Amino acid sequence: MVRAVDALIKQMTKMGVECIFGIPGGANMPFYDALYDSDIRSYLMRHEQQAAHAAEGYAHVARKTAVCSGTSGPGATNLITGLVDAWMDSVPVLAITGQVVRAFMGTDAFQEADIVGMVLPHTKYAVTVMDSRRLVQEFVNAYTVAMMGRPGPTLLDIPRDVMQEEIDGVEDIKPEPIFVQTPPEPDVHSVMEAAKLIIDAEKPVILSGGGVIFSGATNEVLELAEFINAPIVTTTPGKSSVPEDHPLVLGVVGMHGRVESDMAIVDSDLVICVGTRLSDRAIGPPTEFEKNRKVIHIDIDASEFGKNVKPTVSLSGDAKQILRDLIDYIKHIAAKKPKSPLINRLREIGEAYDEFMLEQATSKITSWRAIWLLNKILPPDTVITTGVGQHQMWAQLFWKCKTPGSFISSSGLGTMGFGLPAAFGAKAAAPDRPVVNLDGDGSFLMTCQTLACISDYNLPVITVIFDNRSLGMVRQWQNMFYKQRYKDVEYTDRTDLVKLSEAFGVEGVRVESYEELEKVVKQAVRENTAVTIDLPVGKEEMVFPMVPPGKWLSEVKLPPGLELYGKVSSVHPA
Amino acid sequence: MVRFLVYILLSNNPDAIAKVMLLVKQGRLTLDGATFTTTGDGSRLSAILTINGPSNKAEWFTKKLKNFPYFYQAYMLPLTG
Repeated sequence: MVRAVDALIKQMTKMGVECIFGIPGGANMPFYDALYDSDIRSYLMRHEQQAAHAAEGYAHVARKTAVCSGTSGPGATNLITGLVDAWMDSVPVLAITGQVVRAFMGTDAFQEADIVGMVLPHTKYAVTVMDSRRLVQEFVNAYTVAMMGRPGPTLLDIPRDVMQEEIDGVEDIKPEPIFVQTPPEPDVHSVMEAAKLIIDAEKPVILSGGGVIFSGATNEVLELAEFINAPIVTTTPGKSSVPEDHPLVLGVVGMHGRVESDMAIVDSDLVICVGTRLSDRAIGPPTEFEKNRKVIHIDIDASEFGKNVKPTVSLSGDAKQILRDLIDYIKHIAAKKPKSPLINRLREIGEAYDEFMLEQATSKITSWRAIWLLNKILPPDTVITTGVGQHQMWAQLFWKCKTPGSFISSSGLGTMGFGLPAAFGAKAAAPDRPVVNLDGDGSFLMTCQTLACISDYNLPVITVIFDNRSLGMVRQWQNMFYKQRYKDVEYTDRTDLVKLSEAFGVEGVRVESYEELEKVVKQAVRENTAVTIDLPVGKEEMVFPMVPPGKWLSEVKLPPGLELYGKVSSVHPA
Repeated sequence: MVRFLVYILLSNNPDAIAKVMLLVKQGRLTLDGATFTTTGDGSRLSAILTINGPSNKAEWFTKKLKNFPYFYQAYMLPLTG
């Protein structure tokens, strides 16, 4: 006989769980007691939300289900933001929560909360384990299904007395059949139909989403693009699905996408959408997206077909497998397409934008030039995380990913405070790679206690805070859409971010020039040390291009003063 | 807007039933009727739902159910009249 929780930890080890991010408390103490004797590393976080984001960062880099934990009641409810974030971006995270003992459940006991009821809308699976003999089986189910099919979060809620009960030893547990979500094989007729659309298209574009990363389909996307000579644009979660130094990759599309990417979609007659849910942020109004172009939609989740955009052809299954079949078929029936002059024209638009922006940034530090500089000096395998706001948009515009899966951001939920804990989790998964959190001061202050973990566990993360002493994106919207009636968007200068970082044991530096920034970052990378860089930027910065909410991509607003009328017909200055 | 019937075979637990209703809500569908009946050894429920909503959401609803390991089967039948 063994304690159920000891059997659980044994099974976790067996299935390859190397670490967990969490905080112990009354109801999950047996879980931590069992961890005491195991080889699983536990990272003591300072808030459960940060534990969930750290698990997201870990899952992105390790490409497997990551585990976070909290106790019952507030420990569990604090996890929710991270779990919903993982839901929106399809990240495999398993939360293990303690629960009050079974006899007290339903009595409003101390630290009792119906966490399963709360997370049901935003998890693939959530269960309270009421029978200790089912505990290991339920773990195997929840851990497995988080990564199978379309990845996503799951939750295992365990009453304290269930953990402590003695059970017979368990061996060789497999997920129950309903938890094995094997992707369907590509439908041959749909592959043929899609191939014909691709061959007939004059201006095809590939839209690469986050599903390409978890499917490992980077090479297939590039191979298809090279064969048909199509530009590749990405969603925000798909930003690092393809190397952005590839000549066919234009960058992120959408509300704050690259102008050349938006124009590629506007000019297209076919969009091949891979592993994306086609959100409003990426494509604007679906009715405009569907107009005058055909759409091939490839996704592991068949419920995405027609949810936002009605596809001409839909292909359900694993992106890598479908693209492989599609490429093989196309190569059998058609010759490689010649290079299109359109791509050069689009790239010229992008270069004109870059040139214009970098020329603006001579006298004082600007966010975009700082990111452009960081992109030049950091190694190609650097993992980037971001908070949410203007700095995130500058990062998606000016950081060029070179390694698949190396850009981790809160894309769907837009969770401020995501960057630092996600960076911590990423560094736990890849201690030998530089991990840099590009953050805003607003985002940073929401989860800055993670600095204590960075210090405790010697997992050196470099944080660059684009410090404009304001909630910059809200300010930008108040400027553009609320008649400059700025309300509750500006911070005082009293919070000293350098001292704050040092209080947690991480070196803090305020830099006042690009030269200083370069020196500090290069030193931190060379010595693999943590540093928090406070980088003052102007609060008057506005992120452009910007497609106003609800408008089609052709109505993109450019930075004031940038003229592209000679290069493209339908773009407007802000 | 279409009216459709959905047959679902699901785990017999309140979370699974709640998940069905949450998906009705997410799809902005309206429920005309629902019956849940235990089947076999009592570990599963058989559900028949009559739902109204846009046709794309009806398809979405049935396909979405299959993503979650509470549901063994889900079929949709459009109703006329």
